[in-house]
Amino acid sequence: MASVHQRADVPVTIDESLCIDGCTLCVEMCPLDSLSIHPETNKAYMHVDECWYCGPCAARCPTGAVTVNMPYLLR
Amino acid sequence: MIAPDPSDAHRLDCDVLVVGGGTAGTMAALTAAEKGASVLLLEKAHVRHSGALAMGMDGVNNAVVPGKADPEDYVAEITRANDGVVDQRTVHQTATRGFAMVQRLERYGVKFEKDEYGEYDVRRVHRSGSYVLPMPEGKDVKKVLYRQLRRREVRERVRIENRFMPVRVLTEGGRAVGAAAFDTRSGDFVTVGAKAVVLATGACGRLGLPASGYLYGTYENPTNAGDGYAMAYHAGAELSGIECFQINPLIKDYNGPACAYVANPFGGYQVNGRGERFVDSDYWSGQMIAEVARETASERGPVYLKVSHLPEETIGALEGILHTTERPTRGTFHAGRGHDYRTHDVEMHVSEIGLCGGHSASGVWVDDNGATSVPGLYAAGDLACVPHNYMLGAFVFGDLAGAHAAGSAPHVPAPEALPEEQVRAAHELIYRPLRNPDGPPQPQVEYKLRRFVNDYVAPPKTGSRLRIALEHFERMRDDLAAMGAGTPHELMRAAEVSFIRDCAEMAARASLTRTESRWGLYHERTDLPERDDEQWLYHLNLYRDGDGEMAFVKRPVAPYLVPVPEFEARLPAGGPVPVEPDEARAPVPREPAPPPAAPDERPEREAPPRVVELLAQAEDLPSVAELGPYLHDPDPTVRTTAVSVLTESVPPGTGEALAEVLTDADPRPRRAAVAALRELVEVLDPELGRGLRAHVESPDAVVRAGTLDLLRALRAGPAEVFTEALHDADPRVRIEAVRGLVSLDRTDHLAPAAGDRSREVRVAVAEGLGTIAAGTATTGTPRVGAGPVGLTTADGGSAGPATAGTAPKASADRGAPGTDTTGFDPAGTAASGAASASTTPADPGATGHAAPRSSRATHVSQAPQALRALRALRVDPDPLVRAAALAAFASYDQGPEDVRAAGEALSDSAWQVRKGAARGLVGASPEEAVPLLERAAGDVHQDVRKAAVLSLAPWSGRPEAAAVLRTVVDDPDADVRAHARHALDHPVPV
Repeated sequence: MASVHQRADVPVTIDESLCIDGCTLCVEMCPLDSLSIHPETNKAYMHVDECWYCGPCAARCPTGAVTVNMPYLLR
Repeated sequence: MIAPDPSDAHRLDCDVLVVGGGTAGTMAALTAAEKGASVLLLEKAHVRHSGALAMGMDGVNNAVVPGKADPEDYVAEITRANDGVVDQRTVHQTATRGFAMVQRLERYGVKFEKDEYGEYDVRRVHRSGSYVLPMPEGKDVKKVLYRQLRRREVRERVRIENRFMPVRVLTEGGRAVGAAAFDTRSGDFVTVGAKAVVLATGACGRLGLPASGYLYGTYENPTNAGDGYAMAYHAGAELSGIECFQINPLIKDYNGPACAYVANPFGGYQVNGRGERFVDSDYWSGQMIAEVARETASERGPVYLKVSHLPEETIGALEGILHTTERPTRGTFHAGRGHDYRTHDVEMHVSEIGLCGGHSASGVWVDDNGATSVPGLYAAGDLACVPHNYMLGAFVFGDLAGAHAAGSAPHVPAPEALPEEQVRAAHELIYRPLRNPDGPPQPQVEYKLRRFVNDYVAPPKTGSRLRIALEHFERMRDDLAAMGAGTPHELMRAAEVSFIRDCAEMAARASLTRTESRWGLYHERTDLPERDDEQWLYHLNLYRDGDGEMAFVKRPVAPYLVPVPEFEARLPAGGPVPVEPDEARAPVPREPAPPPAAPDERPEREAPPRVVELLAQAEDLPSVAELGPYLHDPDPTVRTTAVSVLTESVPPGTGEALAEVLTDADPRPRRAAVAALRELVEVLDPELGRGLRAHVESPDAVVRAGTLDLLRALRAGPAEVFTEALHDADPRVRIEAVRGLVSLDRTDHLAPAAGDRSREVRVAVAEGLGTIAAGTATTGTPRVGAGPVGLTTADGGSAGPATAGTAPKASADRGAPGTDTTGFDPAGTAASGAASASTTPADPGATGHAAPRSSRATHVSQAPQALRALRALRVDPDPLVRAAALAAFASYDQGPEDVRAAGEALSDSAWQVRKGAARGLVGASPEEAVPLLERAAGDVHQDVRKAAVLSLAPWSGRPEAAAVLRTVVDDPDADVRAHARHALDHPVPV
């Protein structure tokens, strides 16, 4: 089966200038396990477009680096 | 990744395996541990933020609080709401054990709404029964539960594994002996041997596809894919009422609850496109959802939650709850479309279908201990078929299942070898997609499957559509077998699609088998529109038979514990009735397991800064001393994070440490500490109050307001502190001062504040004077259960800020203009002051201190002062103040001058004032009041008419009042006509 790479507008965005190296709080808290630490930047990012826009990732981030937007289809 | 070999499974053993760390699961684990069992808790997310309470809950839907509601009434109510098909023995457990559970949760630190006197502020949201207990700080429920799980004595017995997902319960000789699972991050294969298994995996939320098309934009937490339904089914357990789907009226597209339960006490309500209330059902049920669906589709649609008529402060308070609890991104959603509650009512729609025992009745069949039909296997929470059980019922049944499972453990031998064939089959289910790296991915397969659910299974249902659904679901077994995945995360989603397919098939077959319509929209068969009690006043249970086929049996409804006459006479006699299977089908093919894989390794990270260092300690429950350096760190972010770590663990000395932060130079830690102290108020030492008093002098208004709130809640503030604060520059502080004085029944200190320059403070004063009078009952009317139709109805204060009972904490915390008032409550949902009377004054030496609630004599002696203040407030320039003052007269003996003033107010141009006047007239004599209420009953505004009906209800036994009520029994407003009919059906003797 052919494999394609599609761009997607993902709901959770991270301000890398605020994201702390070594902190994984948002990654640990996401119920859908949609966040991960990027191996190159060491910053959190959304690795799959799976989101309940529930918000612990943003609410618990110590520096306010995480923003939860509505998934595009709901906006 | 490469699949591990089945023989390389990581084996774990315990007495009680709990699957799911949400509401029921955490309680099951806590109770089982307290009973001495060793517990393994597997959670596919992280227990701290998982399940239906991931972001908290804004209230209890079904609290039967002594003195406010009766367990028997509740059981009858649920029996009616579920059209008679209820095993009352299960519902009775929730009715009788719910209150003890509320108290247990409170001991843990969960906050429930209380009035100024510290009494549970139960609301009447439905027209019958007062069961709704708001949780204004409900966002912290999971935090509190997680804290309990990490208490040292619990941690010794409960092992938590986050990110583990079981896929099958293992059975030996028909008994549950464990589970097969995998680590969704490493991909490791895991087997568990257990003496008992408690399934607490929640609803099947990913069954129907939301109208948005977004797979995870579901009403339920989308991690809840029906795991437990599939696991119970494959273990041989019976499931019941699967055809009684969960469907909810939700915010359109956002697909979260609009929270009519929350908005209702504030004066919000559901209307059609013409602005009319239209719901005739008295209780949340499929019938109610059917009414919403019909209205939405009609020329009168769509349907809205109406809030734009409310004043600014009420809306601010409402936002303070709706935008922080349960689904806190509601605000983001509305803002994204440029909508605002001030200008836009909230468009609603009917959600996708799901399975959920806790909201409707679709669940695993359990007895009154949560035991399923498979020995050693339990189900609790939304997964279990205990109709309308909601959050509190999930706690109750988690507790019961945990206790029963732990109690059985000493008599059951620990399993040794686990059933090899079942382990292999589970392994195959998990790792099969790795063999098809090019197979269709989960998002596409799941989308298609769930679109078929929408097309062919969602109501209104027909036999022909359901048969087509089954063809698709059978065909899609091949799609599932071909599905591809490459990572542990994708394996998790792929296994979930198999759960969803199983649930879809159960939903379609059960709907096809029940050949009638029942439960409103939940099981509306347009080809069989009638309810058929003779054939179908039965539970319809399904199970996997010896051949692996889905089989059905009709189980007679057990004799009722509480009589419900309309169904009781028709309950079938005799035993279970087997049902012929609709269609036969081949068993699922099984393939051999793939070779094992090497585990992935994660890279090392750099040394963490202070916040990371602090967070790393959080799991180990650091002491206050250990946190000290972080609480005094030069970086305010670190100090704020330290406050948050403190509230996660609450070591001894937390209260004092937080109080110290109230003087922090930076507002962030300071405000975090205020919020933390309020959050923890139920578990703080009342002695702390004395030390807090100095903070009423804080330069920060948020700290001052928060301190007053704490002093009131801890009953640690002498009246003088509150009286002094009435002169504060900030109205948020003055409103807290008013609440404090109300809690002490200090009419004398309160009355002068009637001249306050802030409208919100004056409203609070007016309401407070009403609350004090209702509490001490000058007329001798008991505070509890005063009126037959419930003057206590939650509708009470929709006149304005008047109602913002849940607002206080929210408003001061967030700096919103204070709507900080008590629930308007003329006849008094607030119960007698007995509880507060027993509180020990923290400072008996202080004059005018809070002591036991003042005597009736004190109140009566102060009544002239109160009346003088209210008479001034009812001619206030602001209509909302006039409204609140007029309504407060309901609690006072009124003179002719007052009745005349109320009569004049019925011509006010503001409907809120007319409404307040109509409510206040209940305190006048019926001879004077009824002619005026007749006018109000003909008002153009529905809320004025409703107020008139509610005030007339206690006089429904008088011919003149009954005559007025009869004029509105066909009112266009559903609330007006329902209350009028109820009052006429239940005349109160003169």
